[in-house]
Amino acid sequence: MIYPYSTGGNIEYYFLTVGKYFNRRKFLKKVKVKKGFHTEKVFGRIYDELMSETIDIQREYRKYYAEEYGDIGKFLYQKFNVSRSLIDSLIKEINKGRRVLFGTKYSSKDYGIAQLIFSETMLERLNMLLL
Amino acid sequence: MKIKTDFITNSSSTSFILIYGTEFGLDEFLELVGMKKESDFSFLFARLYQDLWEKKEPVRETYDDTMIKERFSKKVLNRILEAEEEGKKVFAGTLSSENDEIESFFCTDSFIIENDTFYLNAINCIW
Repeated sequence: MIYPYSTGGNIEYYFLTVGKYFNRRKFLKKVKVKKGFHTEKVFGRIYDELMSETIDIQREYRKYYAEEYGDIGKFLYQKFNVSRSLIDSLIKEINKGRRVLFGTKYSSKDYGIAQLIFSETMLERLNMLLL
Repeated sequence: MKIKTDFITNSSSTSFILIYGTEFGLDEFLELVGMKKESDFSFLFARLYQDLWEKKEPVRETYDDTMIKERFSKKVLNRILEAEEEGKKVFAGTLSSENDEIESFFCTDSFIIENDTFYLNAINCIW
């Protein structure tokens, strides 16, 4: 699931929740594209944009912030300034054993792909796939 | 340093060239770009197909050889001349970034799709 997140008006960041063993191959298989074709390239870029330079929130918390904040909800609230409802959703995902990643839009410098991912229909379809 | 003094815009357009021998439908197009029919994302490439079909015009209605060379490349011109000799259909058209996110994506993306059925050159992205 992709949770767009913004500190101002436009979407600048996102939280992404995925299964423990989520990877590029599994993503492309779920999208149902054929190997070696143009669609594989396009959706490979979508995966790369979503995953590139993401931070694993639980790992980050355990490694650097657990002592300071005491619980991951407080860490998300104070460090990322996210809403209570989003924190609840992310904690629910963590409790299901899913990974929570934090990403920056345009991190792969692929402007067109980032714009496409965060368009309404695409975001809706990606979220169905990432559930 | 170059200074642009006329109208500056963020919108863009991409001219594409589409060559094929015999007409093909949406299902065949999806197959040829590698999108399985049952995919939840087939709408994306179905939209590309629709845009190509709506916006394509016979290339010679708009371009002569010099214009093709200038707007695309010598290589593309040779490709077109070769296709015309073989009796294939050659079209040109324009995708715009001003309509919606999907057309905008294909408009600003530079790509070539080539297979036994068609040749699509959308590499000429102009901002």
